[in-house]
Amino acid sequence: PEDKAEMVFQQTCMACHSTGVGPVILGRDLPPEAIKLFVRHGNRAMPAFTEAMIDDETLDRVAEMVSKSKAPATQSAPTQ
Amino acid sequence: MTDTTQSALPQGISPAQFEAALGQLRALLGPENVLTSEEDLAPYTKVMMSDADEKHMPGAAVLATSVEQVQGVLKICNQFKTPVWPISTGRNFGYGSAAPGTRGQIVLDLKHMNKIIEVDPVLCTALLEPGVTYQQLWNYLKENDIPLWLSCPAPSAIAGPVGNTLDRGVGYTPYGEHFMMQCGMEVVLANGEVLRTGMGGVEKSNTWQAFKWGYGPYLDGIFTQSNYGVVTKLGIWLMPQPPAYKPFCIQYEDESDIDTIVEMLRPLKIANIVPNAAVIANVMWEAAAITPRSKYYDGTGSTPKDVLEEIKQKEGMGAWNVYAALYGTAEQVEVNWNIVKQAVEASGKGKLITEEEAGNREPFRYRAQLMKGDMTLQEFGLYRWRGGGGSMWFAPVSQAKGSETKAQMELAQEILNEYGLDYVAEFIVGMRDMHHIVDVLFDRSDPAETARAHACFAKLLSEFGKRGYAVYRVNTGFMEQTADLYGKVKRDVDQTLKRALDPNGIIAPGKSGIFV
Repeated sequence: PEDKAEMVFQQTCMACHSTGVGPVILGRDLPPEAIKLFVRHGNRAMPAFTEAMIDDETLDRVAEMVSKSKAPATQSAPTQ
Repeated sequence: MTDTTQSALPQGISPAQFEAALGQLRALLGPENVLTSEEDLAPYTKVMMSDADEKHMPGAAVLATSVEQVQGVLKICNQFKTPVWPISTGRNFGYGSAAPGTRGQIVLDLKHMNKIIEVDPVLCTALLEPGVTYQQLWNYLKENDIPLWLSCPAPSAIAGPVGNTLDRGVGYTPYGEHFMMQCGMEVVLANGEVLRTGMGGVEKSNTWQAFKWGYGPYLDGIFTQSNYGVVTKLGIWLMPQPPAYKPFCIQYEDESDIDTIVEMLRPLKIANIVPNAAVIANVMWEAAAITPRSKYYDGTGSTPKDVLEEIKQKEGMGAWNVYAALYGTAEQVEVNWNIVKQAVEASGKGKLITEEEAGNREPFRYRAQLMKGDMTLQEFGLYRWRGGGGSMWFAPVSQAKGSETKAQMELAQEILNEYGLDYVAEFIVGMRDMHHIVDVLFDRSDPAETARAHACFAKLLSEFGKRGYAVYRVNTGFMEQTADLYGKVKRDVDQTLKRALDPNGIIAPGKSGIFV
């Protein structure tokens, strides 16, 4: 994808969160602030991502994208 | 925002001295590239080790974008005796992640130095900066329609070739020994000089990525798993995409079959019939890719044998699961496939599974992706096997002999079970060696279990050591103990080199047990 936020979402977040490795995050109305906190601090099995890896502006947009997303027609069951 | 610089000072540095160094770093790099707030440093502190977070708390993190800036950083560090811990992409999960080896070091984060300087589709080489990720390089090859394949470790997408190679990490294709396929390096030395290894020092040379050794002492190795310089460029060889690719799996029923497997595989591997870094994964490693342990067992302690039997039956897994692949023209693949089939039949055990039979099923799918250097993070499923964010790689080197792998398996199992942990393991098959990779998984949110994991890891190192075994790589909490296994003379030579190249000891003190 051309768009940086879309790219981070697809190539980083979804690599775990659409494959059953991490819990489902789409269509759950997760608050953007919580998403950003998880990304920056990591959470248990989830690694943290520095600003150099995902800049603040992109992360804001990714968090908004995830927060407002609808649940896909088929998705893996939550595992955590 | 709280300033943490007071609480994580490098050893022997006064707060005033540290503040003065930070001031100079801000002047050099711009204040936005010198991170000291708790919020900005938080992502650098996330570790999976049994060590306490405080032991690996950085004093600051600085971001450099050019060789000149790296030179400038080292100059300031020499002046103020402030140590730096260089990271490339910083995704060294299970080995210390992005956090420094000892408390108070400044993380020198090279993630923003991420230029793909050159990909030569004719010679099949690449020259890269440290911040380049495998995903970035993979995208570049696709976008430019360059028919070359990568070799990446399981954290593929978010990890990178430079950092992985510098810790001598491995992948799963025929180019899986990454350091072996590395060619040419640029290193900023502690005195600020820029060294190019191999043919790189020759004026107007165009063979930096073509011929590894150059002339005189061959130096690249001393900059891997070490603290003798900051690597700012790295050359690697890339594999041409073959016309045909055939990944396959061989399942074995019993734990003790490891002996038979290794005896069957070794000749195929040494003769290059099976050319890739194949793996032999045990049932828990295999299962972790697709399910948490709690689906089958919610007790504490080691997973009982009858539960493992149930997983094997219900998930269609073997006690050991070999993943390997064939590469070449269709004819070459067919010839070699027949040789593999005959070898498996002759061994009297093992069930062959082709890609056609496996279809899109995991974990076959992600294994097939990794063995062609595609991006997948499926194997991070290992971390939710028990959950809680605790993971340390215990990775002893073994001869590629069945009796040896069996002995190591039994010893590792015995020690892990003593501490209530699981033997989650795979062997990565070299020609004559095995990287025996054990993921010591524990719930890091549970202090008692974390303490047990710590004691367990120390005992694994010492008991293996008594039998002449040592790990090829280790997390930052156990670098000293591991260095001791390799003997005093080795440690002395390492230190002599350190003193010669970095007399102030400013680059990554403690890496691989090396201090000035």
